[in-house]
Amino acid sequence: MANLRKNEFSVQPVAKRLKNFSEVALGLTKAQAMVECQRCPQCSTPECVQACPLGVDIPGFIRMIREGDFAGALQKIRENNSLAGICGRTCSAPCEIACILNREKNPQPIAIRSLERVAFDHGQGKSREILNAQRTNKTGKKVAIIGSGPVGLMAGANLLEDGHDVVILEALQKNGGFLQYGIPEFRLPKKVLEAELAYVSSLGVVLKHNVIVGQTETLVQLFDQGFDAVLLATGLCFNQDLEFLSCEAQGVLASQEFLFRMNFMNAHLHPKVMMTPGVGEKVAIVGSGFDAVDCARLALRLGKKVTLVHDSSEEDLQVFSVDKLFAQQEGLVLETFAKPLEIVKDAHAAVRGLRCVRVDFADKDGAWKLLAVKDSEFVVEADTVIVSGLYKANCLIANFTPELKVNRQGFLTLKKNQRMTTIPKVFAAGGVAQGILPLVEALADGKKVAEEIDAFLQGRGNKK
Amino acid sequence: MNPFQVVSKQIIAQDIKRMDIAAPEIAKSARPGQFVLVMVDAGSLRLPLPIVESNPQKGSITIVFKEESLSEKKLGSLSIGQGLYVVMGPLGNPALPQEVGTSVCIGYEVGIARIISVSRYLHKEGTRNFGILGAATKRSLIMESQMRLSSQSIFVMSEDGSVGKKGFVTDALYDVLGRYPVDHIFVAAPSKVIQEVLRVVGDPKIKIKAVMPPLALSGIGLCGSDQIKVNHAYVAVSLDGPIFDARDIDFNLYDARLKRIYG
Repeated sequence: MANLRKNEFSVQPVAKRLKNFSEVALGLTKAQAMVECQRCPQCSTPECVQACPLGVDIPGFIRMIREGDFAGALQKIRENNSLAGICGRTCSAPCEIACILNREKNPQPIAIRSLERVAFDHGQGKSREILNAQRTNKTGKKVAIIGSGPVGLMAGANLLEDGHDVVILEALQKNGGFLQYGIPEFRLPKKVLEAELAYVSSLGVVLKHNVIVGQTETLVQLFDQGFDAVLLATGLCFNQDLEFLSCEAQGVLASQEFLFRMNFMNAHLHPKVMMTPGVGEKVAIVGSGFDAVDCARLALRLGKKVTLVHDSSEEDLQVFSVDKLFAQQEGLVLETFAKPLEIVKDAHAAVRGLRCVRVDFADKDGAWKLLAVKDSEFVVEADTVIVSGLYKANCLIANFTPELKVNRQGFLTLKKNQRMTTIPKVFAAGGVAQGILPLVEALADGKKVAEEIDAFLQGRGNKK
Repeated sequence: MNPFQVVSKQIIAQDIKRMDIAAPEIAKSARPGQFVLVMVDAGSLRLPLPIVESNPQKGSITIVFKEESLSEKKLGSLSIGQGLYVVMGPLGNPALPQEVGTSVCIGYEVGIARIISVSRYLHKEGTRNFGILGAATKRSLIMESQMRLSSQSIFVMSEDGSVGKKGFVTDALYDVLGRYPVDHIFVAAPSKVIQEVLRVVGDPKIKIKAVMPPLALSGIGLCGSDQIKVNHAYVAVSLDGPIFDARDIDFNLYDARLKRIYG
């Protein structure tokens, strides 16, 4: 089990946090951060910067925090990453893995993610004026971005810095996309997201909501309104092609539905709001990613008994070790090496449990594979089953725009080595073009597509 | 404060209200058979309601709803000039049937609100269109005159005989099928009534489309809560619906999904 490192942030006590939905990790204090920064060796060729898909000047901002200049540090981060507060909480931190202090016998990398968070928490609100003054001459070109998720926001902020006018169109009533409905309050407080959205719109990005591109306005209408380029950053949606949900039992949910009810519709406030969480007393969750663990932790906070069924080892859970630790502290029961077979129903088609079989590594034809163990079937008692990981590219627009081609994997077809789709002047990035990505990779993709659109609008050839 | 103002409001039958809402963008792009998602305030449900009429000149859309759940009552209690928190749309796949010779549009009580835009479209395209309106009693029959305007002739059936003829919509349908060569039937009614209609229509050449009550949570296919089974495959109502081939729908699952989100 992972332990919190030295100099790591303080956390909410378990008994307390099970009764609220607010952030669990409380972050470093200013003093703690300044102490942590002193451990940084300030390498001449920093590996952390090379590992960061966004290329944030990590030693640079650490130096500033060491001197107590939090606003300056935030400013430094925002040169490369406009969404510092979000990355400081939810980035997978490849920089910490690359940190040279991670290679020693007793690996203790610099807590770069926590430092980024400190820079945002304590440096916010002071760097805005500087950036506004920095804006280069306007080019007079207009770009519409569809989807206000991480990719859309990142690309929007970058395109704006290049001098273009940017309008972000969002179908739902709140901006933020997956950040808004997919990540729970205890990992990414809505306050932080609001602050980031306010920052992006303070730069000059116009954020519109309740506009479904394809239905309310078509791509053609957007071009008629004078947009010079369109970026599709619609991300991921529910995947109905996967077989597991093909059971008519009452009480089977997709993880997205539970997350949407809880994060977007605030179902935890029921009966103050009308939306119900839609889960029973015993919840079984299938999956291994962040969506599964987030659903589990939300259900635990509702006072439910939660079992997470996962078909590999505990180490294979694709979440940060800290979050896994938090979940287990909160009372999550992990059924590892268990493969779900079918949903047990009663006469009224209501879920009664989840039949699983144990799996184990076995040497079959010389390859280590996970195979079912004989006579090891068991039933996890549950009245609700949440299935996670059912994602596919959100190609809603392609339904209304036949010229937009979708490839066999379900992603938008892009031109070779480019991010332009089959329609000229229409670009795509992030989940809709590449599938599930770690947040920081998606942000990097947003940044790259912004460069590509900028090159296209300025009439320069593509670098690639 | 909220942008989507209530322009007019009318009680058209017992517990059924008609509302015009200012939503210029949606009014411009709405097509027959589509619906909108409506939220009265941040705490209410996302109610999917059919677009009965859209007026691009005035920039308003018309919705009709029955006040049953708490959210619907809240919506009904809004007065003229007040605003809605969210009106998102248009959603769903529009019904644009091609080359229809003779058609029948069947609406039952509040279902008439779903069928009327389709009926109007058919009438405009020059189809010989018959309307069959059904209700339990006179007090729950709506939009008779609008339906009359968009059909060659209409048949009103009530179960207690308080309006029109006494009987069921299937009785009238049986009549029409005997007299005219019908090739399309559109039906907006509770599942039980649709199943009755399926029983009456024997000829497999007659296409039967069911205009189902819309069902959506996110409305853009994000959360998978609007998955229903049509022809043994899963489809999303907010993307592919709410009009489906009535012979293919798994009605039990549909009703269960409706109950799960709004029940």
